[in-house]
Amino acid sequence: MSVGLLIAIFFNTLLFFSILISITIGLSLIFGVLGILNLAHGAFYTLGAYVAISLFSYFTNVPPIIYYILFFIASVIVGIIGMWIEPTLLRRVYKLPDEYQLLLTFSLSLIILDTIRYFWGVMPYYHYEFFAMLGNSEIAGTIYPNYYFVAIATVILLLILLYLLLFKTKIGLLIRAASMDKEMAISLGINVKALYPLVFALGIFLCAMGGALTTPYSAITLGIGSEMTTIAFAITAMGGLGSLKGAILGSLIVGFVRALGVFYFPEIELVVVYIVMFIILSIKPYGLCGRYERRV
Amino acid sequence: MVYVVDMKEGYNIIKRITLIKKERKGILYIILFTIILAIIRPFIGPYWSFIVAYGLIISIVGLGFNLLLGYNGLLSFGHAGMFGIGMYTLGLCTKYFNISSLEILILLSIIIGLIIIIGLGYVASKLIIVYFALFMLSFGQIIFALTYKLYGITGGSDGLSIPILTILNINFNSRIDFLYCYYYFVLLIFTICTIFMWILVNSPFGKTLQAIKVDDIRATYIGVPVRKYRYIAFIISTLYAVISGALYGPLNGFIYPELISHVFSGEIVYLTLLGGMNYFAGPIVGSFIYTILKVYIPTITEYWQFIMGATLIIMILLFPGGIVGWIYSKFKKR
Amino acid sequence: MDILEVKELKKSFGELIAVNKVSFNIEEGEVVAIIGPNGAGKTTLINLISRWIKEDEGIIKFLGKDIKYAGPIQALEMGIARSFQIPRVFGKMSVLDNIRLAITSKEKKSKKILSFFESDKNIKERAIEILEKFNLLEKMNLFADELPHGDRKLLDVAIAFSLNPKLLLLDEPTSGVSAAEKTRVMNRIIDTIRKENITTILVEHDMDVVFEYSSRILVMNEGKIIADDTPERILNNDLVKQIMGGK
Repeated sequence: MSVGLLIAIFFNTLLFFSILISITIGLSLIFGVLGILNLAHGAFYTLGAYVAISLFSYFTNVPPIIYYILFFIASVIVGIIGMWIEPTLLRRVYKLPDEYQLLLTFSLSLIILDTIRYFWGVMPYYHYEFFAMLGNSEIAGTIYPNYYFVAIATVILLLILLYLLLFKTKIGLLIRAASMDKEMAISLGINVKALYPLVFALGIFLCAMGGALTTPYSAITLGIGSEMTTIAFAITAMGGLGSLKGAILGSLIVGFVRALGVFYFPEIELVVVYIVMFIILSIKPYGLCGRYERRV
Repeated sequence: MVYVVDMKEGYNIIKRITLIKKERKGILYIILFTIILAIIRPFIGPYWSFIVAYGLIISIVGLGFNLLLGYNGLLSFGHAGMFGIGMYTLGLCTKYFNISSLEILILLSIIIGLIIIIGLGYVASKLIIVYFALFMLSFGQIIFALTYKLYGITGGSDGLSIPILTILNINFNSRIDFLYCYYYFVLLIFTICTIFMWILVNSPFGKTLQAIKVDDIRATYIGVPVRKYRYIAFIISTLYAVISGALYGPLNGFIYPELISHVFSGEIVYLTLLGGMNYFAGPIVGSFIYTILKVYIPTITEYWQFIMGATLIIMILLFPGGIVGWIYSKFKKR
Repeated sequence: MDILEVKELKKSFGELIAVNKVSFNIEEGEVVAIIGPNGAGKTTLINLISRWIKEDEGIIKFLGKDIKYAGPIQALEMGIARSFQIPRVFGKMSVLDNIRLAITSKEKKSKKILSFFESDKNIKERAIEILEKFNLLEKMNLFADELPHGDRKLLDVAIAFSLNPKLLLLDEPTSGVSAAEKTRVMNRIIDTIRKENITTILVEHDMDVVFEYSSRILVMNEGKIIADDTPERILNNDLVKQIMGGK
């Protein structure tokens, strides 16, 4: 086991973790505050990737910094779409039993996916320019692409910003209050109606960012979202619904399993996640870290 | 004079029928439906026979699925997996054991399905809501992956062809001859399954399941062993999916993994909601509409998912009772 | 025989000792009220007796049998039924069905698959009788969540009652019920209880209700029973007056 291999596994873990956490933290956030399980999360991830890649193909031959900004622009666009969806569609199902929420977000994912298909078609998209532009670094004898460092750093930066937002600002306080007890929050005069679209948009923004970040090194197809949704839910369930810590822990574990899997058993790597989820739920019906608080 | 007396007799008979309890009426309607479908078969030709048979088969998995959703509040995104177990058990038995008797094959599928279900259900009955949905989803995906990757055994994405089977030891010369007889076989199984389900949901057990759906803690507090009952409901529900899957193979003549991906699970959810998840007939109505839609929509547009999603949203927001619910509300207004 | 014996019962939630070495006995047919300030441990005590939670230490004997290992369902089978502070009823089902379900479960008929729920005439008749006792008969076809609060509390108690309990635990049967309704609700409940001679423990905050309807009062504070006596003597108990803030 060479040092080079270890380093590769370490950074791969961080990379997978970064992509996974951007989806899962959005999911946990949306569930924690709005109480909605967003089955359309994967579809937004896919949308983020497609929008990003389209932006890249418009703005070719630009300096790296512009490229970098494009990631954010793509995610913001998708986030705004999300912000529009919450008041129009999601709000109607809050009062209905849980099954309807799952069904509504499920339908949303179908609509989004076919809309993507309509505008972008079924052929895969590639855009490796940015990736190549950044080149590679050599660490302890292994060559490792610089882009991965950028992606990891971006996500960590976003996580820090999110932490600061939630725990050090007034809005963050409002969000946390609303997530703990919606009725209390309303009676304290917090404008929950205005808060919800923002939180939803934030969750979607993060998730789209995850998708966008994969574009420089992946083939972008319609299917990338569906496995991501399942894995994201798996992680959230494993870590315990609504627990941000659980999301981070779960993403690390799955990121690690995936990193190992790429090297050692690429054939079945995806099914491994399902099997792990299957096993965990069999033993701990409420996930590892959390308890699904049933709303009384 | 005679004419007037006849009218009165007729009126009395009608009055007596409407006084029969709602439950017994249900069985009558089911049998009536069966008889109608049995009679029309010689008049509808192979194409429509196929479609009706397909609709009946999907109705069975729909009914099973709705036992969990409408009557128990549990959304399962993995019924395609159970469907696949039934389907592939039958397929593999025809391929490797050279069994061609339909009855034996269906029986084998049920037995093997039950073995898996009993183990699976034990775990699944511990789970609620999203955990349950996810668990079933991962189960479905594992089955899908197995059928896909074990191509040495299952033929992978190339699929497996199902030969013309024998029914009651009768050999058939062509697929169409087989179809004409198979239609009645499917109809028979459909009727048995539907009547059983009807009795089940109107039984004390069925009513108790609904209570569990409404408030499972209160249910415990009136002495109901909630987990045990969920387990039983799970077994019955998934068994229907297994039976449905087993029936599908001989009809289509060809089975392949894509049939049982999570997309199909989603379609099962879709058709149940379309028909109306709070009504017994919902999944049946939904299955037939879904079958017809699936046949005709691809000729109009390739964006089947969009249509599914859009209609589903409309159903949720405007017609949560589904089509059957909408029809009922029209009748009540009269 | 004492229907209920509680010895040195203790239950903590982390640092907080909710029930602290509580002991008392209850005879058959008594109507005992438990009063005390908020957080005194009254509901926890009910939860323990009805086996919603398990105790850390101590013994609870029902009809002479130690119920240490019993869960809520076994407790029900033995004859312990309860109602809830925030009424729990099957909202989306009719009032009649709520009662019928309880009876069906009690008679062990809920596992029957091959018969129709509606066909059981005996259960229907008994359910109607019970609804009549609680004055809910006219509302029998309404959905339980359409009922006003006072009726929902009555329904909750009626459900507990349908389970043929030997010991009935009522957790604040009149909380949230308007003053005008209280008498009606309590009269109905106590009437029915007295007629069937069901031993009852009621947790209550409303002193008028307590003094009107119970023959014995247990006063709890900070997890302990500080007084156990007849209403008249409790009325004159200084310690109690101090704790209850002069009522």
